[in-house]
Amino acid sequence: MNRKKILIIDDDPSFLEICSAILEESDYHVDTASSSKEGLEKLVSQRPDLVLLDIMMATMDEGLSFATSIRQREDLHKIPIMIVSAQPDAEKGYQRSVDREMDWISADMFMEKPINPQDLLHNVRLLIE
Amino acid sequence: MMRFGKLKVKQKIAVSTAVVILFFSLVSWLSIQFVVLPSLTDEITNRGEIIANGIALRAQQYLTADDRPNLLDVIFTEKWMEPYLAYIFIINEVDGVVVHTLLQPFPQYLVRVNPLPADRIQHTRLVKTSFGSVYDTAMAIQEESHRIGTVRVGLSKVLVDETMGRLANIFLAVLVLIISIALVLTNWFSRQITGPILDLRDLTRDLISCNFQACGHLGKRVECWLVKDCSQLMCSAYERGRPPCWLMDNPPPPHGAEVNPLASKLEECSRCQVYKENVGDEIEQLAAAFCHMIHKLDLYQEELKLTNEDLRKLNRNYMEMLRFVSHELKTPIANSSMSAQALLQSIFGTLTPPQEKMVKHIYSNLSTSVEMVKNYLDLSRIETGELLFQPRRLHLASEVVAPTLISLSILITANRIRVEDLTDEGLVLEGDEELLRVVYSNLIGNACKYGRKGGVIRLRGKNQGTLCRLEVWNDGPGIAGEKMGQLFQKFCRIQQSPEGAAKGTGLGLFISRTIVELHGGKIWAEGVEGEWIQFVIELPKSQEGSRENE
Repeated sequence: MNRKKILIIDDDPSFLEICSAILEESDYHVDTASSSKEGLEKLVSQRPDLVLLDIMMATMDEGLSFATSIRQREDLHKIPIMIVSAQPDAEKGYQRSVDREMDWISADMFMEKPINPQDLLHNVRLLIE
Repeated sequence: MMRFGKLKVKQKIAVSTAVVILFFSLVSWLSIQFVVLPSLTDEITNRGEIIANGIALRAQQYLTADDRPNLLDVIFTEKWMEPYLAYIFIINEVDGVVVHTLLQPFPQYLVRVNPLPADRIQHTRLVKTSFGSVYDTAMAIQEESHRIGTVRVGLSKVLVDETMGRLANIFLAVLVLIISIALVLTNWFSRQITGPILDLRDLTRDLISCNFQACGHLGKRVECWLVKDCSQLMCSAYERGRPPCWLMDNPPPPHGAEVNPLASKLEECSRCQVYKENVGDEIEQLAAAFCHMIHKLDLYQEELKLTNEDLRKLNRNYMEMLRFVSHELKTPIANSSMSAQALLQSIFGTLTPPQEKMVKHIYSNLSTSVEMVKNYLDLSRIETGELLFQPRRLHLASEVVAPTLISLSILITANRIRVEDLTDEGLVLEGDEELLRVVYSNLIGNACKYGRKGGVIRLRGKNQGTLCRLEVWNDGPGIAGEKMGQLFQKFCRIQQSPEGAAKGTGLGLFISRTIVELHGGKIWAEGVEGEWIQFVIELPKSQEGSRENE
């Protein structure tokens, strides 16, 4: 069976490692990127089934603007995005983009850190399968 | 304590002027009634007697000789001399009229209206005649103690009364004139006194609205006290930064005012023209005190503004630092918590019971740390005004209460607490889902931490008119009634956990109150110490309604 591919983009190596371990245990193929630039390269080359994206990386809201930019690309806009952040305000950012009634949304789901691993697996399953 | 008597200058001057005028009017009226009029009457009576006596003396020889032309001459001479005269006539021994001054036929009844008794030589009576009331004097004409006739002189009371009337009119006119002048003067005087006081009142109103520039009104006054307007630039008393020259004012300076120490120069100052104009004037002193107060208030306000600005900056920096530190702390704690949870959820294989116990401890402590960090992040958002409030219509039971209970399930289970959720399923209100979850999470979390192990938490939520009433009840030990109000203060740690150790930041209830108030609602605690405690929240069902109520 073809393993689903997940790309995690976060500048925190510890989170990348923990998250990869949990997802790999559930038989997902996980790749990681520590910046949005690296993330975009891997996104284009690997076409993952899901992107897990942190919001606050090198700059504030880097993740959110990254999500917005890939939503505007014809070749990438169908890849589901799950935003993970330690900032509860990020959810508001996600909601705001929905409220504006634009023809795209920047993310499909938001999860606030700390993330419950079971919830993570449940939500990943929802978005991929 | 200082007490102020009532001034009401206008009223007092008006009343006292009215009293004085009334008093003098009364005295004048009484004088006229009881002194002037009786004197005038006496004078007229006496006048009649003098005239009658003169005629009697001169008429005696002419009556004896029955010389009528001379008798007429005598009586007419008197007639032309006396303006009040009504008549003069002379009668003989047998009451026959010999001569009279009347230009018409003599009315004979006049002889009988005032007959002179035989034992008297003269008397005067007020009689009624066809000429009106008349003071009638009868005087005997004697020849060697034998009465040979009688002179009758009548002075008209009507004419006297007319004179009296004229006098009264003059008196009234003078009185009206005096009252008018008094009114004008009263008004002028009271304006002179109340004008400056009213100016000070207006100034006070400006001060209340913190308009310290209003002091400019007082600047129009020529004042020695505020050095800026003084022309005596060389005056030594104004040295040292030119402070207000309180020394020139005899009363002690207002509290806190700086006293100019150059007392030796006082003599010099007292020759100053401005000083001479102002000294002893109460309003000047009051205005000077006002100016000084305004000056001081202005300085204090400026200082306060600067201090406030500094404090605000400091607080903002502190809050931004707190947020940065909290966020930086949250990241590793969240990672550790996620790892511990993954182990507990057997994602990497089943743990042995001792391993599981240890990991549970790790997870429990990390959860407490996460809660604390969340509280600090919320505090930072509140204090910097960055707490986003995005209300929408939501079902409280399914969208707020149930998810909160799920997220707290580990804590609830660990404390063996039974939760009775009696929230109305259909309860709908306009609120911020995430913020309301924070409130419920704080209240239920507190009930778990400070409540009885194995106890009960009861949640209620129902409609109450335009409000929703939400309750979080538990059978924990609660707190004393007088401390209930302090629960919602920042960093308050009144509640004690059963283990005795106070956990948490003391921010949860403060954050909850802020969120509830953001929704236009209110929150309070009630309970019986040692038995139960309940947190009650009242929220408006619609945010429109809440804004209208405001």
